[in-house]
Formats: sequence, C-alpha cells, structure tokens
Amino acid sequence: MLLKLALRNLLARRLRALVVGSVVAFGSFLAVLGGSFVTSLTASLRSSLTRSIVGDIQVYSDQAKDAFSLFGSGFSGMPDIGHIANFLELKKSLMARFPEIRAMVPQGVNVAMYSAGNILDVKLAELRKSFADPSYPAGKRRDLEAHLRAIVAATGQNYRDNLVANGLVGPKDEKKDEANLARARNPAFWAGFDGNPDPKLEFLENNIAPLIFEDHWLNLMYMGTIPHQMQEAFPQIQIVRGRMIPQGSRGILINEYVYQNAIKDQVAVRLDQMRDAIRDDHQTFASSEALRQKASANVSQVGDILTELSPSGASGLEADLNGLLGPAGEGRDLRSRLKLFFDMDDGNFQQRYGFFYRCVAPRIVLYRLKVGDVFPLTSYAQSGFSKSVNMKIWGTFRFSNFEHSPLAGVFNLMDMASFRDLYGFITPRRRAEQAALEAQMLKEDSSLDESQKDFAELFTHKKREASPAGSVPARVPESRRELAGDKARQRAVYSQAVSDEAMEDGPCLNAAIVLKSPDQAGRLIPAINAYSKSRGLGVRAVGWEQASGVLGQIAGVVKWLLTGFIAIIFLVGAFIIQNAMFMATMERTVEIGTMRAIGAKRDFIQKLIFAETAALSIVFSALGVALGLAAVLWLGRVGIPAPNLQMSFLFSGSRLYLRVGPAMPLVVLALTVLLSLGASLYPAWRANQVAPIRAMQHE
Amino acid sequence: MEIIRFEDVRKDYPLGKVVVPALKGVSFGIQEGEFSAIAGPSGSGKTTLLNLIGCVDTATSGKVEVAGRDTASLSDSVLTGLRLNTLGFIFQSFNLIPVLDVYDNVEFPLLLKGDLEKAGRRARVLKYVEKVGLKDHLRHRPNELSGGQRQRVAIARALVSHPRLVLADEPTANLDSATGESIIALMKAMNREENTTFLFSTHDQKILSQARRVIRLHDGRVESDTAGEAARAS
Ligand SMILES: Nc1ncnc2c1ncn2[C@@H]1O[C@H](COP(=O)(O)OP(=O)(O)OP(=O)(O)O)[C@@H](O)[C@H]1O
Ligand SMILES: [Mg+2]
Repeated sequence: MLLKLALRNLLARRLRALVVGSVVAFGSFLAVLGGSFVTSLTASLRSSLTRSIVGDIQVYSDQAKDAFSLFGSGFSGMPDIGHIANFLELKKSLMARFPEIRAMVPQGVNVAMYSAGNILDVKLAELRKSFADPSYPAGKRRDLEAHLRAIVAATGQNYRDNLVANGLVGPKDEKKDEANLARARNPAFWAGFDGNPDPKLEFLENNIAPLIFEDHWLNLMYMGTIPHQMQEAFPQIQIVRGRMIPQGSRGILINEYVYQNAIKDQVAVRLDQMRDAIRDDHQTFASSEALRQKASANVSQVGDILTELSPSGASGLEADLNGLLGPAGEGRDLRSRLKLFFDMDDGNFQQRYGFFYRCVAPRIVLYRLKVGDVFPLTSYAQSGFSKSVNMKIWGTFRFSNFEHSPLAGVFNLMDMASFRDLYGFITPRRRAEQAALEAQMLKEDSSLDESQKDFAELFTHKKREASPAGSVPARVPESRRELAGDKARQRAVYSQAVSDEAMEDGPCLNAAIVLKSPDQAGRLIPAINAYSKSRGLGVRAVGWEQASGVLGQIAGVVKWLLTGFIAIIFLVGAFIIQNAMFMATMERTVEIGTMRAIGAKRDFIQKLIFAETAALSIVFSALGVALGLAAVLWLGRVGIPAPNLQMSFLFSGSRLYLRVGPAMPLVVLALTVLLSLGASLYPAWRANQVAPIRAMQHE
Repeated sequence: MEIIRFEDVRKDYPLGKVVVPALKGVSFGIQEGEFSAIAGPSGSGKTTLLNLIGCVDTATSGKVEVAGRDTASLSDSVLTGLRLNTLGFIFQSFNLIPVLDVYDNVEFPLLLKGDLEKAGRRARVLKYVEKVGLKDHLRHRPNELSGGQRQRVAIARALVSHPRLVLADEPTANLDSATGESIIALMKAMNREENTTFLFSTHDQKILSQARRVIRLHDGRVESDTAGEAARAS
C-alpha cells in the first residue's frame, strides 16, 4: 500500500522523479566506475610493484633516518635508510618464524657513474679486444688503427681549444702533454703497433685520451641483490639480451630501457623517439614542433658521428649517401651531406630511418656498452669519496607489462658483492679475499709507481677496519688520470666467484619479502615488527605502498581525489534530492493533511516520503550501477589507454583493464540509497509536521 | 449518551493583524444515534464547527467533547486514533487522494486501521462503492470523475470503516437532487441499522427536511436548535 502510493506519487510527478533519478543514477554510475578504476589501479600498481622489485613486504633498519622508499623520495635523491647488518641472520630468523614467507632477497639501491670515455677510449677498448681475439679480421684491425690515428691527429687542436684555453692545465702538465701528443702523432709510434700493443694502448689510454675534453658520463641507478634469487622471486623480470647474471658470478644486468635510452647513441635514440611519435601518436613534422626539434638536434650532432667514423667507414658512408641523396655537388663534404641527411621531413623520414640503421649505425658506436663488456662503475658516497668496481654486463632485462615506462627503467640489477664494494661495505669474508687478490695484483703489476700503490691500497679498504660496514673518508680521484689508474687496478675483480652464501652473509640496505599468499601481508607486517622488537632484530617491516614511496602513494592520492570528486557529486545529489522531496511535500500539504484527517499517523506520512525516496533511489541507483558495470566490463575488455609513459607504469601496461568485485556494486547501491534516505530526513520530518487542518485549506 | 458536547466554544481565526471570530460561544450536545443537520448561511461557521468535532482543529476557548473525551487534552496520536476509529469525515471539497483510483481511495481507511484481511476489505469496499453507485468506476482516478462522483467516493470512504460518528460538510452540494436523496437515504439506513450518528451541514432545504434535528448557525452563534421536519413528521 505504502509502496503503491509512493510509486504512484513518483509517477504522478514523472519529470521531477526523472531529474532526481538521473542525478542518483549518474552518481551511482560514477561511483561504480570510479571505484572500479581505483581498485583496478591499485591492484595493477600493486602487482607492478610487488611482482617486479618491491615484494609484498620490505624490511629495513629501524635506525633509518629518512622515510623508507625504494624509488627515492622523488626530489632529494636517495634517502638515508641505514642498513641491515647481516642479511643471512635476518633471513634465517624470519624464515624460521614465519612459514608464510616464500622468498627473501637482500636489496640495496644506489647510484654510480660510468664514464664511457671519449671516442678514443671507446676505440682503444675495441682495439684491445681485437688483440685478445685471434679470429679478429686483420683488415678491420687496420681500419681501427687508422681511425685511432685520425683521432689522435685531431686531439691536439681539441686539447688546446678546450683544456688549455680554459685554464684547466698547468704549464708543467701542458709541456708534458704536448710531448705525449708529439710522441703519439709520430708515425714511428704506430709502426709495428701489433707487435707488443699493451704498453702503447696504456700510453694512449692514460696520456692521450684524458686530453680530449668531451666525456659522456652516465648515471646508473642499480639495485644490488642476489640476481638469480631475485629473478626466481620476481616473475616479471624478463631477460631481453644476453643472460641473467649466473649464480656465483659478479656483474650487472642492464635495464633494457636504460640500454635503449641512455646507453644507445643519442642520435639513434632521437630517431627511435621520432619513429614512435609518428607511428603511435600520428605526429607529423608539419604539425609537431617536438619532432622538428629532434631533427635539428640530430643535425647539430653530426660532428660526434664524424669522429666516430673510421676513415674507411667515412668513405663507405659517403658513397651510400650519394646513392640516397644523389651525387654531391662542388665542395660538398661528408659533414654537410650528413647534415642534409638528418634534416628529415614527413616525406623522407621512413626511408632515412631505415638508411640510418642500414648504413650509419654499423659504422658508429651505436651502444657505448654491450653485453659481455666489462666497464668501470664509480660511486660517490655522500661524504665525497669514491669507489670503483669493474662490472661485467651479462645482459639486459625488463619488467614484463611495463617495459616502456621510464619509472620501471630506473633500476639495473647488480650482484650483492659488487654492490657492497661500491657502497663501501666490507665483510670479514670479503676482506680476506680482497687482501689475497690485491697481493697477487701488486705482484703481477710491477709497473705501478709509488703513488699508484697508495691508490691501490685504497681499494683494498685496508684502512677501513675500524668501521667495517660504514664509509671511511678517502681521497677523491682528482682527475681522469687517477680513474684510469683505478681501471687497471680493478680489472680483475669482476671475474671473481662469489657464492650465494657470501652474498647473503653481510650487510644490505633492505630486503624484499615475497609471500606464499600476498593477502597475508596485512597480518604479517605487524607480526614481523613485533617479532623484531622482541628479538632485537633491528628491522622494521612495511607494505608495498609505503615501500614504494611516492609511487605507492599515487594510488592513495588518486583514490582520495576520486573519492572527493564522487563525494561532491553525491553531496550535490543529496542536496537535489532534499530539495525535490521538500518541494514534493510542500505541494502535497492538502493531500497529506487529508490523510492525517482520515486517521493516518505521522509515522505513516514519514514512511511514505521514505518509501518514495527509497523506491526512486533503488531503481535509479540500480540503473546507474548497471550502466557503471556495463562500462567497467567494456573497459575491462578494451582497456583504458595510458595517456603517457608515467601512467603506463601505474596501469601496469599501456592499458588499464578495469575489474570489479561483486561487493562494490552492492556497496554503491546501499550507500546511494542510504544517502538518499538521509537527504529526505528533513523533508520527511516536515511532512509529518503537516497538520490535519491543512486538508481544508485549498488554494 | 452524548457523543458530542460543546460548551461555550469560541473559535477565532487570526488573519494578519485582525482576528476573525468564526464561532462566538456555541453550546450544544448531540446524542449517539442522532441524525442531525447544521444549517446557516455561508460564512456562519458550519465548517469551523465540523472541524472542531472532527479533531482536525482546536477551539480557542470552551470545551469540545467527542465520544466522551475532551479533545483539548488529547495528544496528537490519541486524536489520530479518534479520527481513524471513531470518526468519518466527508470534506466539503472531497479531498480524495489524486494518485489512487476509486477502489484504493475507499480502501485507504481500512488499510490504515488494518483490522481486516484483504478479502474482507474487498467485500466492504465493493459494498460501499456499490451503495454510492460507482461500481462501474472502480478503476477511475479522481480526475476522471465528475464532481458528484467524487463526492460519492468521499462518502463511501467516510462510511466504509463503520465509524460511530460521521461528519459531512455539505455532502450533497455537488449532486443532482436524485443522487443527493439516495445518498441521504444511504446515510439514514446506516443510522437506522448501525446506530451511526450523523451530523451534516447543508444549505439544501430538501436535505434539511430529512434531518431529525436542525441546528441553525448565524454569524458564529446558534440561532436555533429545533427538531427537524423528519422528526416532527414521525
Ligand atoms: N482559515 C481561516 N482563516 C481565517 N478565517 C477563516 C478561516 N476559515 C474560516 N474563516 C472565517 O470564519 C468564518 C466561518 O467560516 P466557515 O468556513 O466555517 O463558514 P461556513 O459556514 O462553512 O461557510 P460556507 O457555507 O461558505 O462553507 C468566515 O467568516 C470565514 O471567513
Ligand atoms: Mg463551509
């Protein structure tokens, strides 16, 4: 009866019911869509982070000075999070106590620099390799030597223009440098080069290469861990090139994103970016300023390409360019031909992109580092001293699903032993090994002078015994000459074997815990914290959201933003409902008065108003929820495309596929109805206050 | 037993700054089972008087007793109960519920009372709808009915719950004389058969002649209180 009356009343004022209903439906629709968006975003961000790097739980020192965040605090570099004194002990203790833990790996994030050196360094390294490889073609080596001679010949001018002219060289050094340059330019230096190349290579590397001003420094952010264990614990790690750092080996696994964007030749990187923009975003040179800027940046970098070309490479390229661009006119040298080539437009981009990889790329240094290379990494501690360690590149990897995100590309993976060396940690076990290694090296390398011996000593960390895990101030290498010395010292370290146990048995910065079932994280975090406190383990556990710092908070921020937005919609909706029901009440005072006069209780009138609101909100909220579900299902199939790379990390891929649980629509429905009823409290109260006498008062 | 008792009842309506006295000291009593009319020119206070008896309004001063209870002393819920269980009210302007059809309008008081099962309600509703001659209009909404038909629905609604006292404000004003008379006959039959007390206001001389007692109002006062023609005739 009540319901019938309520429905009839609603039908009698269809337009208003429709307006109010649309608001209710719209609110419910948005709530379902938004709710599902937030849940899906959180779920996918969670799976991105927990399955790639973070794990379900992170533990770190309870002495940490800064808030823990694996991805840095976003603005101020690496946070000071202290360190875990001994991972192995911690692991044993936690694994024994908590059987829910599936795997636990030590971690630590740090930044190191690599100077790819200039073109002379690169070519010298190539030449050095060629001597070690008996099958290296002789013709190719001759070409390499010719290239080196050409570079050396150009070095004098470069040195005077950049270093001397800017007052970077003292008069004593200048005299020495000029003498070295003269020696290297002398044809006699190059005669019989392949007889005993090592002293000559060292001479060029230590005395000539530093005179070239141009240097490419590369910052590498890496995570020290036990690589193969990390791969087992984190299924999203996928090898792209080469192989995983083998168990027992030192080395680094480069992130494919870093490889393609920072290690690759910048001209090629720009060409790749241009291709992506044209292919994926349908940009054109005519309409995109960014594209034109990239093209002109390439034009201005032609000089770098020229120095990387060997003499025979240059002539080969010139011939190829003539084939592409037509014969060169009078006075057209390779530089102007290359400038013309890189000045691309919509008409010729595809053809020239292909030409670049076919004819230019094989003749230049396309990647400064390649799989199999060994290169020196230098880290600078906060107090200002440095560590250098030679690293072997075993391969490249990516995190499946979000390989295109620069956020996912921040980490390279490194073995824990090298990490500790670069960080300045030294374990008793390591100290003994290193002493033995250094003794052998010093014996082998009798060419070291006294100052270099000092420096070598530095690398043995002999002076560190007072504080084995901390950092002790040491001398900063003042120039490249010293770093060049480092290189020689550290050459042998990379090939040392390190057992898993040795990697575990020592300090690390933090540790990732992967659970058998991720749902248990909420329960386990406080349990681990309590256990650590009672046993004095000195660690604190946090969930993935906290451990991911800014990134982890994004989900929270998005959630609050959306919740706020939906709350506003609901508030406006509630206001509209209140007004509509109030109007409906006021319009019906005669009718309500009549019912009261016939004997209807106040209660009945109130129930009538509530029934009207409930009927209206249930029907329309259900409609809105149904539409929302339909939209979610549709978007669950099609996916929401990520508007940019940053978003693709949040989305765990280029698209976010919405999902929705069974509870959420019901919650939305219930909330909407409750809110509507709340909004009709006042109108209902006003209605039950209508006096029976109002039945007599017709206007 | 007196079912209505008025003692020096006054009713003033505030109208802006002035006060309109609608009843200026009215006293009378009505016995259970009476069939009486209130007569008087327009504005004499008939509706005001019925509202006071119908417990939808309160007197400014004096005492109004309905079914032996002083209405001024009763709470809203007791008054509501009185209206529901003891009184039937036929409004001058019908006051049907516009969204409900004839059947539902007539059933409404029975639903509020809640003492009858669906079948019992149906029998009762059909009985009264038939009595007022609207059997063929069961599913019509008020706006699909003529004024007279609406009046008859209002009458059926007032009678359907078998109240002890039925108040009717000009029940036949919108009816042709034949229908009017049949309605009066219906009321009379109920009065006779169930001892229901009727009190109605009217201008209609013909209807007045059916009353056994006529209270004449003039300008808010009882002008005369006489046995009606019907009483004299019998
Ligand atoms: N709500 C009100 N506010 C102010 N004055 C009122 C109100 N209701 C009635 N009155 C006044 O009280 C007096 C009595 O009115 P009432 O409606 O009782 O007369 P009535 O006899 O029913 O007239 P009618 O035959 O026209 O229906 C009139 O003067 C009227 O103007
Ligand atoms: Mg009147």
